[in-house]
Amino acid sequence: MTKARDAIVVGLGASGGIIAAELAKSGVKVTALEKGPHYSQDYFREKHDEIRYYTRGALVPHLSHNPITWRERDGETAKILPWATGPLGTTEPLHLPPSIGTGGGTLHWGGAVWRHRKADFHMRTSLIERFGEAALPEGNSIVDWPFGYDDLEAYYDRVEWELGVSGQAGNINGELMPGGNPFEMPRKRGYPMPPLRSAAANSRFVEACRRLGLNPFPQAAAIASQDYKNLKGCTYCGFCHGYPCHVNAKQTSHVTSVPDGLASGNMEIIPFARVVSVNHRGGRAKGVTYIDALGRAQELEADIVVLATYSLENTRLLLVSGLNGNGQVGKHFMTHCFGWSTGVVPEFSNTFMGPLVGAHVVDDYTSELIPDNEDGVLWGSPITSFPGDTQPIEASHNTPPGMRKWGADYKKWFADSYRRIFSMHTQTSSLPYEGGYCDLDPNVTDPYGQPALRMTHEWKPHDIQSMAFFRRVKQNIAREMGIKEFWEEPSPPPYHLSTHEVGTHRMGLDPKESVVDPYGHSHECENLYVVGGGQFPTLPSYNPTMTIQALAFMTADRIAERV
Amino acid sequence: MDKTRVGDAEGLMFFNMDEARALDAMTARIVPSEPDGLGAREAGVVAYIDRSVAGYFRDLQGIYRVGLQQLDDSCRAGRGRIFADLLTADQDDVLASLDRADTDLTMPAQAAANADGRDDLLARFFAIVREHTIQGMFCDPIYGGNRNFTGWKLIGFPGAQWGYSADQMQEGFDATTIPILSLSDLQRTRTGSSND
Repeated sequence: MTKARDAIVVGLGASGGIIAAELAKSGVKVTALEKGPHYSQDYFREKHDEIRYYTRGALVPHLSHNPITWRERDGETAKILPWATGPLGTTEPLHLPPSIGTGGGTLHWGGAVWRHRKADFHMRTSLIERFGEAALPEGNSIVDWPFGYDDLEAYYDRVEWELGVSGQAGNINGELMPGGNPFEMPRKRGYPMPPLRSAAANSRFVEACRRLGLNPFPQAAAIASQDYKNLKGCTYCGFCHGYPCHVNAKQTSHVTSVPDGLASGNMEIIPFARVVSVNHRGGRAKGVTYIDALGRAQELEADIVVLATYSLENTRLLLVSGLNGNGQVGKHFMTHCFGWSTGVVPEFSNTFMGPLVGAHVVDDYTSELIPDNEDGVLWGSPITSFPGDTQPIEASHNTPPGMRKWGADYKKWFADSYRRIFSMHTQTSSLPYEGGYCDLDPNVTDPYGQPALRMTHEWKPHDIQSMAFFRRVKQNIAREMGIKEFWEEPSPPPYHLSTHEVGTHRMGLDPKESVVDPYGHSHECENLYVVGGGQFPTLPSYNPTMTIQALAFMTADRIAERV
Repeated sequence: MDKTRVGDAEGLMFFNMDEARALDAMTARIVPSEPDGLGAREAGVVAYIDRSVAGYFRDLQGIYRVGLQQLDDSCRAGRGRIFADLLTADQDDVLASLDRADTDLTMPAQAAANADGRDDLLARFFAIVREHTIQGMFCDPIYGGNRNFTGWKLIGFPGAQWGYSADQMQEGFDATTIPILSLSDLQRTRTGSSND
């Protein structure tokens, strides 16, 4: 029998799309298994539909078929995500696992991209040097990454130039650039496209920050500000985060990677293929079993298996496949706590225009730049302006606390305020703890008879202290912007998923202390790779996707033996 | 309430006329028509809910039927009339008594429909109707609500635009000067300009 394939890639999202395409282009025969549809390039031309994508979460895996349970701590019985279920169904798709289908999470993401800071790769060392070991929170499992910024710089550059990123450089080879981020890590060259335009209220944010002595700069964005390679220039339609792009301006692996992979002739995609196990024997993966579109179990074999689903699903697949030899799978769960803050600006700012990331951001207090503070915050966050990209139903969910959400007063408030809504947010770094982990739920199964993944996670004092510190910073900025009405989400937040879940198949050099090596190569199974945010040893306050993409390029190089 | 308002030309798929009348009265207090004629009634919110519950929200058929029945039962018992026949001030009092911050919305709909505690069920039911009223106000008209762009006119939202220009993105720009577009407009044309 002739061999049909060299590699199986499970999931065509941020990392899987890159890895499948890179391998195919280098001559490796790839079969990609995708749980969702294989979308055509112009599938989403009329995607301007808040009911379909925001209210009903048409792109994301629904909990009825893909249950995830959560409990605050050991000993409790976990429930199917209580903030995402109930009689209204999916009211907050953002707080569910990311989209499925070719493109995965990059179909609907906001597109905020960041290179991690040098210190982000050495969080444990930095914290101990500055605060002493005693300052680390009880039960933490903070470690350094197994490599540093300089090892990843070339891969960050590839993400920016091969896939496409819009932005304003702040530091090229140590030289500070006007208009950019003065705290940016040194880069070898600038961005391939200039920054995006911003919805109106952003200029108030910029002016207020400058008056307060802060250094705002345009957010680097995985959205094309002009035509670039496979991408078209953004039209600023305002149906962006949570939506697919109608003109292919958004950097989505479905647009940037999949077509090139298919064009090589070495890649096939099997859509609606739900992988249920990695089959392995004697420390070698043989292949996978999946349920096809008609509900039949199918087996596929290959020399290399790459698990590139979402961090949580990667974790579940390892556990149901019996691949947890050192007990580390599912440990060190981390997620972001958003600290959404909202206000009403004095003039029409037209909240519904432009992408979320057409906005400025302040890096003065990020990561190790956090000033000494009374709140006990060890690791800071950027402060991001959200002037646009907010549709009516989403905005209607976010009203000042205590306001009755119906009747004449509510109607008047919403009619007067909708076009002037402005948001800011931070996303404080959630630290890894021994007590925050994922395992298989003993009670809840999916419709295919497999156990659901169970999250055990509570917001810790450090999360709440961080929210308090940054609430004051944001209140200052809001006041300076002329905002009278300003409110923030509850602390701690009701949710425990942010679409930035990472850490649950940690990478490291020691096979006893981690699940994969820096290339995502399994310590337990010699021809298995497990890639994505699950590899992160710690979670900086920056958005994770660009680092996930950089790691994916590094993994593809490794498998193709270019490293 | 006339028939066209609750069922449009297609009529009702799921609710009977009495249920639609009760639901219409509820939605009309959630987003009233006064003072501008831009309320849930004008937007056709009942048509949105009827189509949604007949289809996408079929899991909620039980709680809608039971909820509407119990609302009328409790109004008859407490105030001598069904909800739709109460004065609007009394309707507001009834809804305010159901609007509770501590309502547990995480219970499965079927469990809710069989729950013992009537008040508990009604509070949950009100939360659902409130949410669906907002959806019916601001959805694209293809879903049966936001008729004649009632909801979008109320808040100054121009709908399904292909994009916006730099001039339109300046502070103070009055977006009501942009002709409102819907999904069906986009689907008909399949063209657009990037407004650069």
